[in-house]
Amino acid sequence: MLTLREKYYDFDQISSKVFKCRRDDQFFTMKIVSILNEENQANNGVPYWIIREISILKELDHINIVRLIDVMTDGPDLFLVFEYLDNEFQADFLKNPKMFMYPQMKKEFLYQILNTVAYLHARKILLRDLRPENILVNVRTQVLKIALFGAARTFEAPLEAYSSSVGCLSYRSPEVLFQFGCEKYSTPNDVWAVGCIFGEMLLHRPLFSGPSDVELLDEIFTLLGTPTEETWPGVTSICGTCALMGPPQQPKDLAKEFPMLNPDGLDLLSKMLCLCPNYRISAEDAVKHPYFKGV
Amino acid sequence: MASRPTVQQQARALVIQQSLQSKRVSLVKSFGAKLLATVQAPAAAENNMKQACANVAGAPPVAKGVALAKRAVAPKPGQKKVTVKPKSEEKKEKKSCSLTSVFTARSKPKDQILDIDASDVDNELAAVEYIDDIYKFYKLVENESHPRDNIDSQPEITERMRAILVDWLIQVQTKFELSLETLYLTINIVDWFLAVKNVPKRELQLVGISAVQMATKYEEIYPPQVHNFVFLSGRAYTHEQILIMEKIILAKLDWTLTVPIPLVFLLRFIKASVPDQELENMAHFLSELGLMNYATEMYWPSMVAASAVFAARCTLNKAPLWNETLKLQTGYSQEQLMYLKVVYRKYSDPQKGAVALLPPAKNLLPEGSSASQ
Repeated sequence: MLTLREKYYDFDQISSKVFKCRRDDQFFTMKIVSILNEENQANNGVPYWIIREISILKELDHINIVRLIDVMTDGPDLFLVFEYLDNEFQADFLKNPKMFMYPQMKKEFLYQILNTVAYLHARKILLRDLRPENILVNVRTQVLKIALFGAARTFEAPLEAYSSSVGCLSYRSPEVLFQFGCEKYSTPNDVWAVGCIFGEMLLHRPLFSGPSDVELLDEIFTLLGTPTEETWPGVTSICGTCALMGPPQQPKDLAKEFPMLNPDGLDLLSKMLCLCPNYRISAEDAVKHPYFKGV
Repeated sequence: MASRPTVQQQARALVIQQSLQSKRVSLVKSFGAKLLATVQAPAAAENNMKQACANVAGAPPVAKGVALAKRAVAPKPGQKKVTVKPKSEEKKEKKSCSLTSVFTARSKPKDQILDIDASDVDNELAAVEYIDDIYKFYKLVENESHPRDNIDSQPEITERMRAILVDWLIQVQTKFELSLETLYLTINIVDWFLAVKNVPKRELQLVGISAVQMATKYEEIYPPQVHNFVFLSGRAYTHEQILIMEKIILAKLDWTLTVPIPLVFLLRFIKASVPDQELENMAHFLSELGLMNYATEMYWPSMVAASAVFAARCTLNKAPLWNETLKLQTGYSQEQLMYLKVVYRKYSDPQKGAVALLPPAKNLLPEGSSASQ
């Protein structure tokens, strides 16, 4: 059996634990995961998120999901070898509007993200940490790839309680922000994150960026209005106390906030950012939305 | 993810540790005593039992060293998927079709098929819009994701030893309030590992401990720590041994833990059965009994789950025993599930306490036959 150095060579450091490497004439990305903790002890063996990430990626075969090529072990370290992609969605696209070379490109990227989320949900996988940093781009083919499945997990229907401390704060859905300790959420949580990414593609800045749960909720309600029993049945029992919701606010006119969007685009955005998870559009339905006509 | 444990994690760890102190002694004793008794049993009796089990299962003899299907790999588009079912399913007798039977069939009112998800349309936790896709996917990959021929290829491990290990793992799951998903996944991991690697009998419990540790990492929010599992084994295995075995198992299983287990089908089929609490408990009870029996490994996870629901309905005298909704959701007709007769006969034996002769289970026998036949 070939060792790591025999199989891969020309290592180029991308970040502290990520390297670009080569095998034959192909490039790969190698992620190093240490099983040891801060005290250099293998307290609990392979981390749970690595077991989930590798196991889930082994099952998936989709053009918009980064391919796991190889898993190698060397002492206390694990080496995860992925296909190599040259661009980061956030650093190269969201912060640099010129990278979107034609108007349709944003729509195509959004379609690819939604299509992938629908594929994952149909394979009973919740992403739980979908954000621009976890999306890579092949600029040559203009194909997006979702990477980093560390927070992902499989679910059974009806869903059980899962950890509520998952995902980057800015992309967390109101039901996750609300349910301190309740820990029950589902596929709409991922759709909310896609809605936030859509908004970010349009504005070139995060749609919501509150530093804490409460401030983030306030930002969400400033844009989308404070939920009521009519717009979100059972919301008062979910949040426990209405103090969390602050003073009632009316929703803003999304057409004024996103003047670059046509009516179909506004309709899709509002459905993805629907406060009530039961009424939020599913990824499967979002892919069929009229906004994507011609994509 | 924060590396430092949260308050809940610390509290859970403390509770687990305290409960372990009191529980591990009985767990260790029960596993050790049962395994010792098994090892001392004469080899001849063991072989006889193995032969009997093979006959009971109605399964074809499998040549040792038969290559295993790759774990949990769905066929690529364009590939033809070849599946081998047990012979008991393969050969279906052609029923003679008389004119009377045709008219009788026509005159019967068609069973109404229930939309079992109708009440969950407004519940996002039920994931209704994806449920059909999810179960289509499960059905697609289930044939490659359940192990076969795991005990026959083991020089030291017997069916009885496996049953003792499973029994002990069920105790572990109950005592530490682990999810049912964790239990079923643990047993799937154990069976797959036994199918791909020879395990000395002194390491069987170590395989079980490492498997439950991996399954908790995959399924639980707060997986127990390794030192809890060291306690659990009565210090029969060290911290290091458990971690080494974990890596061996992961490598042998090619890191594939995302597999359809009988439980995922069972939950769906119970829902299709429109259950009361008694039926739900009975189906779970029978399904877990199935985990103990090596013979059930011959069957697809969906068939094991459907059989558990069918047997539960029979035991509790539910009418009808099977209906169109269940047939649609499970993909199996009542006739296909009648392989349960062999299990019925097995448990009619006085050595098994003749539990199958209790009145409610009589529905499992075809009309006109008795338990002694």
